[in-house]
Formats: sequence, structure tokens, C-alpha cells
Amino acid sequence: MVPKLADSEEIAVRAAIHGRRRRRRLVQWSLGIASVIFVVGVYDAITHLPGSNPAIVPPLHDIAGSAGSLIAAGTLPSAAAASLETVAMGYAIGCSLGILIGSLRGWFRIMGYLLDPIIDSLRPVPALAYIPLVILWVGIGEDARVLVISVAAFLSCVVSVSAGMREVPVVYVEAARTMGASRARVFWTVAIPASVPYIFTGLRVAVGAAWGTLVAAELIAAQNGLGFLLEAGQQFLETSQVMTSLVTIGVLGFLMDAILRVLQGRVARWAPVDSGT
Amino acid sequence: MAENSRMPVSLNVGVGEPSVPSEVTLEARNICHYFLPVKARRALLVIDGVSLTIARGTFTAIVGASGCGKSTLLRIFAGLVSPSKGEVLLDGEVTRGPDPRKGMVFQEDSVFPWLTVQKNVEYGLRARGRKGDVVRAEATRWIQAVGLEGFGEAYPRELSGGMRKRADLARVYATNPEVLLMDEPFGALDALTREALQADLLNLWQELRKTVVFVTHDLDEAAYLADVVVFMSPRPGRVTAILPVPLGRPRSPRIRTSPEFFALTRRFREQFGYAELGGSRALAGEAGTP
Repeated sequence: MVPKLADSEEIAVRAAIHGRRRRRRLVQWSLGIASVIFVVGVYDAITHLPGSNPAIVPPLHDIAGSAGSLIAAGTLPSAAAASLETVAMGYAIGCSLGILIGSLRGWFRIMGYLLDPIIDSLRPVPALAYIPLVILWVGIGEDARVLVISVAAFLSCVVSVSAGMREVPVVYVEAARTMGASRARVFWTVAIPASVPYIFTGLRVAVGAAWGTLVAAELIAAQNGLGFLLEAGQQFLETSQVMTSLVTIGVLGFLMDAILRVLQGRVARWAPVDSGT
Repeated sequence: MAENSRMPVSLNVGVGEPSVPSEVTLEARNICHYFLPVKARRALLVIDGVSLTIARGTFTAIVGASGCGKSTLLRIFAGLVSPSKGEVLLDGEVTRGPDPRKGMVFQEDSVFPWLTVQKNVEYGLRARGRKGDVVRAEATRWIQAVGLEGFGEAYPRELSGGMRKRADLARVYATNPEVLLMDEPFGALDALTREALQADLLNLWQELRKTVVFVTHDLDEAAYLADVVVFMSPRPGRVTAILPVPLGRPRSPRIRTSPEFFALTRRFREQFGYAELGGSRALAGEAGTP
């Protein structure tokens, strides 16, 4: 029933479509890069204003110099590695639990009745508020930071996952049931795949929550890590170091989000990926 | 001929066909169903004592204005809604809940957007515990049968609405149900696509002779497809008449422009009282859909 194109035509049509996609991607990248350059340019212009204090608003070359020496001394890579490790641990634990609990409470009504009051009353409490308790329970250290980040990642993930489960169109469930799928099969083959876009939204929101909490956790209790570097920079009035740490956190967060976006494109090829969160 | 009854109508539906002697396959026994709207004081009777018997291998259309309970009745047949009173029998046994012998096609898009057409069609087979190459071959066969050859690897969003409906039909046919329940399956399609799908559905039916119960508000569609048309009136939903379709089989789309067809659909329209009431009754039927 489909008219097939002649091979030469097929090639031309494909080329045109690919060309259009490539052009769109080119525009996307150039505009993205241009906007970053613009912001950096504005910052640079501010540093050149008469009366701007290089100790407070360090010029670009100072920041670059600071970044260079921090990299050369191994301070920045080791801080980034330490933070990344903490975030990865906390993120993995928090998001796994978030997906598990979120899908159970979102899908099975009974689980919702059981878990909603607990989760909805934990949700308004910011993860950072647990720091004192966590320090009392497990002491100051890596465990405490991982725990607090897990809480943060969990809370932002769980909401979106259960919302996704509750948004699954009823007709898919009914179709599966009338085709003879058991309730368990409906959960695995309808509820989970149908809410994959929401699960990814949860995962991407959790990236922000995890990094935000990490920095706060390291500000309080750490001897290494980007938050520690940030705090040290402020104490010794090394504004360039503060800037470098900020940018590093931003870049790492951006990369994690980019990885998730690519992954989402692979896992849920059927649903368009939106670029913003 | 209009059996305008207050009492439940019960008729044997097995009409003018060289098919199997009217062996009952699906039966509704005195179905009553209530809705309880959120702010209402009293429960709303949406189906009032409907009894129907549907013979094996026949194509039955249920028509009525929106709000007459025809979709609810179909969902009761499918086991997706349990009736307040009464029971559904399949091959003489009471059935509750979904059953592998009953397949359902919905008005909305219900092909799973996260699966390719191929995987969608395989879904029902796998849900019944079948595995391996057989499943793939079976699915491919049905994809071909509904005219989607070459689109097995496409995702639903890459298809048009009509093609998605075709995929949906393939998916239900693949599970080989005894009874096919269809709830305005072509209602959301444009007129031309709808006619094409109707013709193809008719061809498939001609070949396989499944028992079909087809809900629609389109009288032409009912006349073109069905052997028997069940008329329902709203609030409360009751069967008001059961009329045979005296058109031969197989039917080609050309029949739709024949004088007999016009006479028949005119007869159907009169059944709804359009002639006397100038459509006002149909309008009244539109208001206050639960």
C-alpha cells in the first residue's frame, strides 16, 4: 500500500531531510555557544569598568590563571572527582529508591494510601534541613553527605515518577487488560514504559537537587570537594577560585543532564525529548 | 415494526445469512447500570434492563445518541465495567472481567506509542504466554492483512490516525478472540479514511466471520457493516428496536450509493424519530451526557 520511491529519489529525499536536521542542529549549537560567549563578554565588560575591584570581580584572565594553577596543582581535578563521587553515590541511591517508591505509590492505589502521607509530609522539608540530624546519626563525613544527597535526589525524583504513573492513559491499561495481560504484566509493560518520559524528568530534576545539596553539604563538613574549594576561596578572598568552582559545578551538572538527555533519546525514542526541564 | 417497549427487549439476532444456525455466543441478561455523579442526590440509571442475544458469526451494530449507554454496555460486555445488575454470558457461561475470548477496539488511540507496530501486534500474543518466531510470524501476517506491510518497525507517532487504527485492528485480530467488541473505532477519523477502514474491516470480517459487536452513532456505518442494528434510546438507556439489515453479502462500497441503502438508512432515521420531530429529539439526546 505504500508507493516505494525509486532509489535515486530515495537518496535525494533522505539527503534533504538529513540536511534539514543538520542545519537545525547547527543553529542550535551556534546559538547556544553564542549565548554563553555573550554572558562571558558582559562579565568581561563589567571587569573593565572604571572602579571595578579585581578582588571582588576578578577579570577573565585572573579566573583562567586561577583555574590553570588549580588544575596544575591537582586541586581542582581531585575536588571535582571527590564531589562527583559523592553526588554519583547519593544520586544513584536516591533515584533508585525514588523510581521504586514512586512507581509503587503512583500505580498501586493501596501503596499510594500507605505512602502518600509520609512522602507528602517529607517533601516540604528541604534535604538540607536533615543535615543536623544526619550528623548526629552518622557523624560528619562522606556517609553524611551521601545520605543527604540521596534524600534530595529521592524527593525530587519520587514526585515526578508517581505523577507519571498517575498520568498513564486509562485506554492503554484497558487495551492491555482486554488483550489478556495480567495486572503484573500491565505494570511492567504499560505503566513503566508509558511513564518513562516522566521518569527521565524526575532524573533530570534530581541532578540539580543533588548538586545543590552537595555544595551545601560540603560547605559545612568537608576537607575536599568543590563546595570546600568554594568555601576556602571565600575565606581567603580568592574570588577567582570561587568563580572556577562555580563554573566547574555548572559544567558537571550540564554534562550529567546532557548524558540523561541522550539516554532518554535512546530509551524513549517514541517520545520527543524536550530540551528544557 | 417499531418495538417501542418499556420492557426489556429480547430478540434473537441471527439474520438472513447462510451462516451457522443462530447459535448464541454473547448474551446480556437484564443488564442495569447506574452512575453516581459526584454532586447528584440520586444514582443515574444509564442502562435499564437490556437483554440481548448475539449469534455467532454475526455483525451487530448498536446505535444511539450519545449518552444512551451504548459504550457503557460495550464496556460491560468487555468486562471493563461490572454492571449494577444483570450478567453477561459468553458461550452460555457467565463472564466477569476481561477474557481472552473477547477482544476490544477503542475509539481513542490505544496502540502503545512506546512499541513499534510489530511489537504492538505481538503484545497480545505474548500476554497469552506465546513465544518465539511463531509470534513474530503471526504478527507479520496480521500487519499485512490490515494493509500495513512495510510499517512493522515504525512507531505509532510516525503513522497517520488511520494507520494507527489499522495497527490497532491487527493487534486485536492477532489475539484471535471469539467476539470483537468495537467502540466507535473509526469515530475519530476523517470521512474518507473512515470509509476505507470500513471497507477493509468488512473484507476481513467476510473472510473470518468473527462475531462483532460494533457501537456507533453513525447510521450509515451501521447499515453498511452490520447484519443487525440495535437501537438504543437515552436516559435511561434502553433497547427500542432491533432491525435486520436486508443487504446481501459480500458488500462492496458501491452499495452505499444504491437506492436500497438510502431506503434503509431512511428507515433507520425514522426509527429515531427524525421525520416527525425534525431532529429536536436527537438534539435532546445530545444534552446532558453523563
